[in-house]
Amino acid sequence: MPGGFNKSEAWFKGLLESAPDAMVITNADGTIIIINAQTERLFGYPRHEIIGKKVEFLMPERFRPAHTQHRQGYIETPKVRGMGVGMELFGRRKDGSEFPVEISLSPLKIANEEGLNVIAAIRDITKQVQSRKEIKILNENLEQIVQERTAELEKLYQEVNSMNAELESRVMKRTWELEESNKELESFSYSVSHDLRAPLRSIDGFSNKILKDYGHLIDEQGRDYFFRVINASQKMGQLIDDLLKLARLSRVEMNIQTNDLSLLADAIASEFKIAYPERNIDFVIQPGLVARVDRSLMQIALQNLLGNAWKYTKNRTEAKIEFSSFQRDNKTIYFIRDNGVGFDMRYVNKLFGAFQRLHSPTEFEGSGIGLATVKRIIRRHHGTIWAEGDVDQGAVFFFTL
Amino acid sequence: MRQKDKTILLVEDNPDDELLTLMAFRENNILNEIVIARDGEEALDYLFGTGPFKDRDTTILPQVILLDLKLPKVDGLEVLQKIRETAETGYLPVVILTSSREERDILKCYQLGANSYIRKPVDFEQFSNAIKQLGLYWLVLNESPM
Repeated sequence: MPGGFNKSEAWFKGLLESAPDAMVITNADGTIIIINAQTERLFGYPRHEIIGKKVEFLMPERFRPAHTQHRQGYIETPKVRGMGVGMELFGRRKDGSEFPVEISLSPLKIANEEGLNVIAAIRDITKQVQSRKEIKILNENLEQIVQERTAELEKLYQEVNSMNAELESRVMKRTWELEESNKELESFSYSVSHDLRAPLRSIDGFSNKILKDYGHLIDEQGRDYFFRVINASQKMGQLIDDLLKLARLSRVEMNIQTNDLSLLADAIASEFKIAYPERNIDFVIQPGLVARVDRSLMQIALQNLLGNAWKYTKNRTEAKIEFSSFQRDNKTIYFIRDNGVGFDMRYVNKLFGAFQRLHSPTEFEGSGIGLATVKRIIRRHHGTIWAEGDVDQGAVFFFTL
Repeated sequence: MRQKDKTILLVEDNPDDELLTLMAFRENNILNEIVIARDGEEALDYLFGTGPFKDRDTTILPQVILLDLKLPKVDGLEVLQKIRETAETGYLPVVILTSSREERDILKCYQLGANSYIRKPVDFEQFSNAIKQLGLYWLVLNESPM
């Protein structure tokens, strides 16, 4: 049926030309009998220059002799398979340039024709090879980067380690130094408490004795001088005691517990009221001010703060002392406010220094150790303390814990 | 035994403090014999009849010992320890009379068996008053086992 044949030939041609790969059909002895347009494009030959050539014509010369052998082997055991699996295959263009290819082989028996034909689908894999190469280079780069980074990290790690070791040895050294200076401080306060007080006792004791046993031999002025000597030695005794107390504050071990500061303040206020019933003071203490503090240290701090408020409101007929708190930046700020004599803000930075006083001892008694003590206690609780006031307008002491 | 026969052993190295203490006793009409040891070694020699006191009748013990802590040679804590370790003096009333108010000193003294701890005040009036109380308590009110 010539019409039928023509129709299937047209089908075959259409199929061949529409294939995405270069299609090369050879006969059993390797002579190219049919190619498609892709083949022309891929290899750069017009069709008539390829037809009739041995298939090796499309390969680089160095592969040609071996291929002739392989070709014969294929004819003996023909089946559909990839060509040169695991090998790199190359095509050769008309201009002599080479390009990597992937080839699938299929045996093809054409009716009425002698022998076996072979159909080869040839695909240009330049791009794939290129990407593979790029991936390989990228991988190698990556590996190198990883190695470099690893080395860097190891170096850093070693540096950190050696820094840690150095830090640790420095911490140990500092700890030792601190322990030493603590010991020194302790022996210093020990001798202060012992040796400095002994001569004071003599000064006070013998002046006292002179006044008692020989007072009648001395005139009024002489006796006044002796009273001054006695007062001064007692005052110095007090100063030494205060100084020691202040030094002890820094050394004493803290026992941090949850404590109700309001109750502590209430108890202190009650003591004041009992000790000075003639004073008329309105104590306003916000209940439930709870904090994690060392109870005995905090008691000393509150005693000093409330004691100050008590002291500096003594000339007020309607004295008011307030202990309360508010929140700012997620922190509780406690404050003690009074309506007493206040202070000049110009001297605010002198308030917390040891033995610093803003009033004369005749106005308000005290050794100037109270607020230094409070500051030290607050600082030991990792808190801060500051004050605001105005002359005759009262004072406010704020602190955090 | 009359009150006057009860002796007081004062262990004190500072001559001023010694005189002040004696003055305070006199002011308060405490007329007991006061033996003075000027360091820890002398105190122990007196108590145990050794050294310069080898001829002393050691069955006669003071009614109370007033012991300073900071002493030359043998310090107050060692003296106290020795007194408590020895059977004959184990129960002798020992009152620590010192300048120090260091907590560790106070604690250590009581641990070693001190009967009382008094810090000498700077103010002589207070000191004299302390001596008065002390004399009244240990020489008059207190019943000693010996």
